[in-house]
Amino acid sequence: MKMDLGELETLVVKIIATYLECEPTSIQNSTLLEKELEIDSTELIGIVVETERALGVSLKKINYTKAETPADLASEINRHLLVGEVV
Amino acid sequence: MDHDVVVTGIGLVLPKTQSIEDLWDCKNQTMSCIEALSPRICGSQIEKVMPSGGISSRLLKKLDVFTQYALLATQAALDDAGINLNEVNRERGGVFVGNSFGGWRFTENELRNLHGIGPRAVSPFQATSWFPAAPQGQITIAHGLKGYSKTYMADRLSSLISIGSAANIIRRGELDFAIAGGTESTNTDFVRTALEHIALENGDENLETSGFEISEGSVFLILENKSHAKARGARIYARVDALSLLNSPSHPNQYGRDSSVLKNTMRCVLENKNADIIIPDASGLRKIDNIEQTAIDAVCPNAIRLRPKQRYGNTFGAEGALNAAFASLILHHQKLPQMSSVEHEPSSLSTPKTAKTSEIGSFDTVLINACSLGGATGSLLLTKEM
Repeated sequence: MKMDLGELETLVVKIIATYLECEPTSIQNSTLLEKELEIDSTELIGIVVETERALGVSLKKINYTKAETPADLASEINRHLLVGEVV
Repeated sequence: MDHDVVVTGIGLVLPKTQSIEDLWDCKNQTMSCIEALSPRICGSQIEKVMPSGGISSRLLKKLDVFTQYALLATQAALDDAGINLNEVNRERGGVFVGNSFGGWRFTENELRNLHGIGPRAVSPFQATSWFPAAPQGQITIAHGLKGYSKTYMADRLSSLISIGSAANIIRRGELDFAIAGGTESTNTDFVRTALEHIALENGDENLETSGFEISEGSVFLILENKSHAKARGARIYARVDALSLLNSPSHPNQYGRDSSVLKNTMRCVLENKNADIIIPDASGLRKIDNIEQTAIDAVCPNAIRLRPKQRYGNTFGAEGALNAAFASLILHHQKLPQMSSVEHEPSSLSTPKTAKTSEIGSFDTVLINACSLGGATGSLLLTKEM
């Protein structure tokens, strides 16, 4: 699945909103995952796996531990996808 | 410092029973919840759709039902005790949980995902939802309790130990209050299959006619230092007197085979007192129950025998707490449920008769027995609060 960074950010926000059962519009790209949304590291794994399913691409190797916002997470996923394209 | 420990609150979630009134109601005592759960085992189960009781859907997704039951029962117990956690020292409040199986409802589903789809389909909450100490963790988080807390796994003895241990720690002055009880979910293929083997290992070859019935649910008590309870004007149900535990090692899949161990735990906890009422372990396994009957006949032959679980079956991790809740209500109300099955004659633990309650004076002491696979045996004594 080809996606630019903006589309990836929208997808990540939508998946987080679905998990939290809230409107995607209530979450910004810069919303803090832990401090504002109280998403813990185990919940973040679930969000990464959901993103993986949506993209149809393995995200096992991404480093999501430093992602503080949806934009950070989308950026890390995007970096992984670009690396994948080169390979 | 007052060393007495008292019961000030009761909360529960059991099959067709979600309040103290449901448990105590005379009509309900005659209404058995027992049904065939599979072709090979009978018992009772909690309806799959039950009220969330204020637990957020986000949290529900992370929890096995045995933790959900525990959160509902502990909230009900706190409400019943009328304890305002904003007015107590939460550093001196602990949580003590009895559990035997952990979260197999959640786990079975995830194992199916693992084998049917693959490792990435397994919930990241698998480990934390199955873990038997999950209820303890979730209860302490939910209520911000930071005092000494513990989870005990000892089959039907589990929550008798959790209550006895909580009482000991309060008595030593290390806590002011505790949420103590047990929780269990048996409504899964894996657990049912395992329990069928327990019955077979212990000599009940015909499972259809065995009295070994299984149930599930959660029962919690609020225990307090008596001075703490009095200071806030709490209603007191009963006093937790003492717990006695003995271990007579046996085969891991079998119960002890000798009544002397149980006689000793009963004598040890009673000291010079008599038991007015006894709530036996009454597992429904013939050999085990015959041993218990021998012990009861020897130690307290005249005690009234009650089996609150005859309505449900064995609740394992919640068993001791269910019996302690029932004992607390009897001691508080100073009466037996009218329709409750009672036996005076020491003929059987499993064939109760109707009591002539008019012959019985005040109820001062209730003795509760329980035993576990591997040979551990315990007796807890509750007494009337004077």
